[in-house]
Amino acid sequence: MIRSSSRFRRAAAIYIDVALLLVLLLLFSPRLTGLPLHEWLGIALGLPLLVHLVLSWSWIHAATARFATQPSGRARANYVLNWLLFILVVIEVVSGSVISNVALPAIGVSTINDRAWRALHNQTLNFTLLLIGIHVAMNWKSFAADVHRYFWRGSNVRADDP
Amino acid sequence: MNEIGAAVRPFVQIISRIAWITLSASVITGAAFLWLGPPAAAREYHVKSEIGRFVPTAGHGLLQFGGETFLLVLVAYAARRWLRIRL
Repeated sequence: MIRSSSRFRRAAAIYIDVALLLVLLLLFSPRLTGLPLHEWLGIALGLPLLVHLVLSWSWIHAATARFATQPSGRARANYVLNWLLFILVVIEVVSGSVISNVALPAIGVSTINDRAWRALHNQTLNFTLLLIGIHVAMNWKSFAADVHRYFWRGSNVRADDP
Repeated sequence: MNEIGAAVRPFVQIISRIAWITLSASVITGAAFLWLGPPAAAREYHVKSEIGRFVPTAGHGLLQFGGETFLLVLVAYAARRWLRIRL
């Protein structure tokens, strides 16, 4: 029971991660989506992001608890990197909402296309892309293994597979 | 009572995790608002039509999507291969 729940969680996590990556790539391409979809996707990003964080909670909890005593510099750097990524994504979503032209006005919230918030939104974007790349690189081994297991082998994966 | 407690516990755990994440996001949002202040009409960026600027086109759109994907792959590859960034 515990094993199947953990397997389900792992499978859910990898599907969420792939969806998150796709949504982020679409958000980086407003010329493909158009502004309205860009804004709605940006707001909707909150949900997979929340699930991603909730599913990673045991790691977040453990890494926070042992941050100061962590002997490995890489693990500490990874922890800081994850925090920076979270901060940048929050800033992206918040600044995007502040200068929203479509989504927020559609639900009755009036917005101003403020130059300072707009600059913050555009400049944060480059660092977010950089950190997502490093985040993927850091976790590549487990990410690639899970993608292979759940996307390539799909339903052939047996319940007792490690 | 114990059974109810055991059934409710995972939900309480999830809600508490969401609360921590929301709290962290609120602190970041608050800091950004303290730094830049609320959006002001005096700083408004005037553009004819923001929606018009981003009318989706297959050519431009796919080029941008491909370019961003390439950049992300390049950063991840460079970080892993040459900078040896890995756990």
